[in-house]
Amino acid sequence: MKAFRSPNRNAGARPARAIAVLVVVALALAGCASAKQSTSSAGAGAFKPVTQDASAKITVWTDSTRLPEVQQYQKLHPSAKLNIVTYDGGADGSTYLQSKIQLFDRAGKGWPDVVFGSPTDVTWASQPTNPSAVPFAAPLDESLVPKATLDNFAKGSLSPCQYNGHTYCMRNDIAQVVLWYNKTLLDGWGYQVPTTWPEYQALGLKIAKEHPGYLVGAVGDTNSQESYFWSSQCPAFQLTDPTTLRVNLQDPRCTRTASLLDSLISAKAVSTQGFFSQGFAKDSASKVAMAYGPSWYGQYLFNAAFKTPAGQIAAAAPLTWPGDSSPATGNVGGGLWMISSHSANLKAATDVVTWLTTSDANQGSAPTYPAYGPAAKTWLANPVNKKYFATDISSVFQQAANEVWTGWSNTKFSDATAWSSIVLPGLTSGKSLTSLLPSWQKAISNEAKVNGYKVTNQ
Amino acid sequence: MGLVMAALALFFVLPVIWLLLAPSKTADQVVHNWPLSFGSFSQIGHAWSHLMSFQNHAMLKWLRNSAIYSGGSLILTLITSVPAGYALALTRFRGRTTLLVVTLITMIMPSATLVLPIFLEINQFHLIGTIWSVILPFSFYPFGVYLVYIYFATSLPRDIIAAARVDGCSEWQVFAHIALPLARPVIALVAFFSFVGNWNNFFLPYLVLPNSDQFPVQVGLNQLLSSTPSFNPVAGAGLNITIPELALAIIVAILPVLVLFLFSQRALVSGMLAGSTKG
Repeated sequence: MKAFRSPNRNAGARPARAIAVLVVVALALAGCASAKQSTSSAGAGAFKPVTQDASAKITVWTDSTRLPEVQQYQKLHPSAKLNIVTYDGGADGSTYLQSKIQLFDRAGKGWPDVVFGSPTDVTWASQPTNPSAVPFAAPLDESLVPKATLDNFAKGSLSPCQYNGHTYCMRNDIAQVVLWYNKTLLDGWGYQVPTTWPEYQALGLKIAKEHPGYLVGAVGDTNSQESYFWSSQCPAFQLTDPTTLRVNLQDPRCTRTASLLDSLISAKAVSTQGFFSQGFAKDSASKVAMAYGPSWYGQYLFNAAFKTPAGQIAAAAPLTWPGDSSPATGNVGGGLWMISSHSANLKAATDVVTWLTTSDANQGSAPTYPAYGPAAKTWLANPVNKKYFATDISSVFQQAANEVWTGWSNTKFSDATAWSSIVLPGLTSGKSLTSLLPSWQKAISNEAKVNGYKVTNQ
Repeated sequence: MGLVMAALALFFVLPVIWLLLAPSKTADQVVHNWPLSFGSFSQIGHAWSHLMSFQNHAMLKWLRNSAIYSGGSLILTLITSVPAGYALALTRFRGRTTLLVVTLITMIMPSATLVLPIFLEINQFHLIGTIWSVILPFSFYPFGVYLVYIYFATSLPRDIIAAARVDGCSEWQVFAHIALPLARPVIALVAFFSFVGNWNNFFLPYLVLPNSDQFPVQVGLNQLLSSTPSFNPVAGAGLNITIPELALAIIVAILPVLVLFLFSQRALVSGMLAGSTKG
């Protein structure tokens, strides 16, 4: 899902992040809050809604990708009173939402009723931002959303929403990683689509030799590690219990991916630039023969950004490593919706979120692959979602959706920051991925410790 | 010398010309056409309507908020800094030198260095998210005190003050009827610098205001930038805000300051020259 990992480290992002860090520091230093609604501990047991007003206007914070969907809800429900606010949607590991919610906690008023966010956001929203505050996210399984509805979400897709036995969000979409390829190019060259990583490597080297300039992947986006290392079941962000993070990048499942990519990078078959970096679409879009990435690459990368003509791009099932007992793939994003526990109109807020995440009317033509099972079926049945592609992507998407490896955990910090600040600059300066693994591991470990995790590197 | 001047002018003026021309083009034209080409007037109209439709005229709300924050703090700044500068210049009291040194030190400190303690203070008084969380810190303006002090210390003839006292004026009357009218240029200068500084201040309002409806225009611009595909490439195309709209938003954001400068130019120049020669 494309909304919250900007692949392009644009210059403006760094000062913004520095500001965000300072905001969080300031909020942490500020100590006690002035929130009036109080609770003694985290968890849904203590959740007590504020006085409800069925006519209260609700504020919806959305990213710009989801904006038309919220506007559509307003159009179809003219009596609903919505105040729609656009924000960055947690893109690029942004802590905007978190810092603003902490400010609302201090002000004791003003919280948005419904927010779109990232899985990282649930890790703090399901707990109080300080001892006397109420957790921002309302437990949806407590008489807000029927159990039958929650049970219909794709297997494991609500796990980022769950904390302490309760569900705090509804997943908008999942972003299972698949192998994208340009069928016209590969057919024209007479190549077979790879099914395993060694085949992918061999084909990449062959393309580099026989068709110099063409690419089989790129690692320069802030989410590239999720496409490659997550798919390889590398224990980079593995919570062994809620407070202990396993970061072991010397594990063979990490080093095998690093060395595979190193060979392709030195052959110039894999770019160290990002697919979304400035100028890539203009200079190299027509040279992309394959790309290993999320389900939204099809529409957002190839169709919208690269403007590859319809009928050329196809998707193949996730690649496998010889010897692995079960197939596994990564996941790049997958947004979610939360409802504020401070909302004075929980009914209206729940209605918006339920419509956005589960209705065929919305999800059937959503820009990304729905997490809600019945809506995913409608989505796949909708020819509009498939007509761009050279082959039917349905079975590939469905297969990959069930193969997302669950060992890459949802942590309180974004997995994009260490990758972007340590690995990407290193790659740009010509270092190999393998040589960067120790410093990447150190950066993740440090960030985890700052966020209160115990870290193990074994 | 002429060559250096021309090179510098080119370096600084080109981006401004580009900015002024950008709203007249479509996003595609901005990327593909000659950078300094003009598009069409109708495109400016389109960019304007797109900008206005963002969050139901949020841009106008942000401009109004900026005017309230900058205007409100300007009034408080003038009420405090003019008498303070006058007192420092014309009276001798214990601790005066210390006060002047402290004023000078706080004046040269970048405003961002004080943001953290100010945040903690505002939080302590439960002002987070209120209009006062911006106006009160904005009103603290040691540079204004120093400007007024310099003006009164160097440009106000002591004979006039003495004559007024001989004529029976009280200290307050001397200040209100003699010093203040003479200080008009420096008051205009303090007002201008304070207004511009506060209008352009991003960090403090970003830190203390959680709600988009409360944002001043600079923080609003940041929200506009971060939710558009131009600056956040993975953001979707759900918004009609692209490079021309962003350029237009920037022009609209600086326009009030520009207009203020044009109208107060004369007063500003005489204020800046005050004290340069002793009369």
